[in-house]
Amino acid sequence: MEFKFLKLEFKKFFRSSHWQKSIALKILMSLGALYILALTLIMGFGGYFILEEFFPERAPFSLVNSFLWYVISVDLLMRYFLQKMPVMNVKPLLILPIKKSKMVHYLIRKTLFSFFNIYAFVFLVPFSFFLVYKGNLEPTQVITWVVSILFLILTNNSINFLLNKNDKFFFGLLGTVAVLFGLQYFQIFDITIYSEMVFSSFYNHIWLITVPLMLFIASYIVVFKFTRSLLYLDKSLKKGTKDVETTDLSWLDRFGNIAPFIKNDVKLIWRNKRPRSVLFMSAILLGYGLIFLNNPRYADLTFFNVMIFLLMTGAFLLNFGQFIPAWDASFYKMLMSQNIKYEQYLNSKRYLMTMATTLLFLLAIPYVYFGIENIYYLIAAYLYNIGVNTFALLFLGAFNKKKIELGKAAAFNYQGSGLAQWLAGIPTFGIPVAIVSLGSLFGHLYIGLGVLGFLGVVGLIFQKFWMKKIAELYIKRKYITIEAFSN
Amino acid sequence: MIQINNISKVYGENTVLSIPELTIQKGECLGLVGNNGAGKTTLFNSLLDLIKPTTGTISNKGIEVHKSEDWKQFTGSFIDETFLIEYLTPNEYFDFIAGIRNVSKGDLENLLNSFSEFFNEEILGAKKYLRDLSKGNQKKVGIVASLIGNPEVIILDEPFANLDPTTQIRLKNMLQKLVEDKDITLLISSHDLGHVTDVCNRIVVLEKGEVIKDIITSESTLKELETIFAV
Repeated sequence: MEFKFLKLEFKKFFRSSHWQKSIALKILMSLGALYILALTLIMGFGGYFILEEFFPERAPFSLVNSFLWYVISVDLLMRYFLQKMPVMNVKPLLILPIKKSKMVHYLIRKTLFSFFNIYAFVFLVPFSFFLVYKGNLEPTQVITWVVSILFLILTNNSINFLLNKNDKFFFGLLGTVAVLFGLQYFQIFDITIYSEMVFSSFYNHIWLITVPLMLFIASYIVVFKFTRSLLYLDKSLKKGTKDVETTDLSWLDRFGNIAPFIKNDVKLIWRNKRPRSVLFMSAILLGYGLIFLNNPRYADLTFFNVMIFLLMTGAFLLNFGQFIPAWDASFYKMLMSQNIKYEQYLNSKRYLMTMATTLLFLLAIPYVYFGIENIYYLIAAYLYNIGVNTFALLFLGAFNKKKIELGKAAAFNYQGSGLAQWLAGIPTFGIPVAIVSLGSLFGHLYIGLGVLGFLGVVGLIFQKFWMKKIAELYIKRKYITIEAFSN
Repeated sequence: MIQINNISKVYGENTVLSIPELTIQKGECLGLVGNNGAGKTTLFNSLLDLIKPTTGTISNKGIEVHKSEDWKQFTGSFIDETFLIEYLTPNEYFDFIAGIRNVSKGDLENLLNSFSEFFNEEILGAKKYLRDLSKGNQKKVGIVASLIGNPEVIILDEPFANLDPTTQIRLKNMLQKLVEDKDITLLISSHDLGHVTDVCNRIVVLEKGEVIKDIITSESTLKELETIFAV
């Protein structure tokens, strides 16, 4: 039976509409995972000596125990971000004579083979070898210690399964870890003492292995029961619907004939997972300046500063713009049958990007605090973004052939990424960095920045012309885009 | 009103649509029937310039649909639920369409109110996204949205499918009222031979992309159609 499930998933993967890209991505991610596993293995072999070298005053075993609490909690935090929940299209299977328990066991067991359950094993096995031979610890007790930790890691697996991306739990745990780390850092309360007590007891009293074992078994049973109860159409398979709060956006009506599109885009961004993450990305990118502008090490790297300012002011523009018009893929056919001019449609996107860029520009002005010359960078980057990059991204958007499903999560979601997104890097970053580097090479930094700003202003002056040309291109590629988006 | 000349659509070696000539008069209601794969949706998509026919031309009120976009001003359509914007509520969706078609708030309200019976109190003011509505209710939203802005040409692909019996009858009455208005040209496709003969004054039967029957509706039309499709 398990083999049949696997076969189904195999087909699903290879027959999905963009499997070539997902296979490339899978290979890339597997290589990454293998690389990390290899590093973990090396750490497993070398870890003992490294600890001995850097902390000669403490036995490596007690040191490891005192930090295991962090390992276990960070493991859970990492799982929240990175571990994929098992997905299986169970709906067609429910009416077939397959025991539900079989499906559930299969789903849970599948998660056990995750990278997150393997890395601890890869580290602990060689490491415990050295604990026995170099640290003169009792072999059987080391084995119970290792097995205890592995069971705790597997319990984490179940917990993650149960919580399934629960934000409250995640931030609660993150806060707890941060507070305990802070208390330890300021030497108010040292959690590591208790961590060592708890984890070394798995070595000192081998019968304590029953605790993690019971935890694991109990969590497995809970996960099993919980998942089994979800296998009804009105439970998890059908998503619950909440009443919708509608907001009044009539203040956007001042944009005239492009207002319906701008209002629609605002709703699109606010109400769907994937585009909403663009907003968070923008906020995070705006913070980049705090890390890099404050740091004297980067002060003289003009090209680097240009990148930072382009990123900060263009955060929204770049993240949103690179997927135009794929955001509207699900209803693109309807738009094309409506009485709209392509220029209107594209202009609405441009206005939105320009507004967001202007807002980010205003928000970035306080960076002048780190040096008055930052204002020149800021203005040049802003002008280049609204005068060149918006048009460049709209232009490249005409070649977008990958649709975006709005409801899917954003982290590590490469749906919709294609050649166009890579090519976008050339005009958006490559050219301005080259201009500024050349400018400072042959004279002064301000020459390059001046050229950037000048290009932006020129772009804005000829905006009508660009928009007309871009719209013509979209019209020419209309049928290709419609077909690509309706697959 | 609509003039189809020599259009064909070929995918590889498969000809999915081939119509040498078809003229639809103003005020006519054309019912398109045919089994799955007969080319009904392909024809509608070509009429709306969503796919490009391999050969031939289509003109809508004298405007060639592949050359100019001006026909969109007087053409309303609903093909399938991909015409809906899933993350909007029904009212927001109607507002969006009205905004594009330059229909005032008051006019939109009047139009929607005239459909309150059709909506059966499940749609107007619903605090739900379109993606969370049932298939039938989604269809109602799409059909009514296609009527916003007083279109002269209305294209509906299988409007009766997925609707409950009461709504089917209401829709039929609604469409018959539209047909009485001699300014509106209506094109609908349907698998329900009874409904389509009740509503339309002309029936075109497609098979494997070709017109095999083109009849003016009369008493005997339903019988005639039933013999064509009986096997």
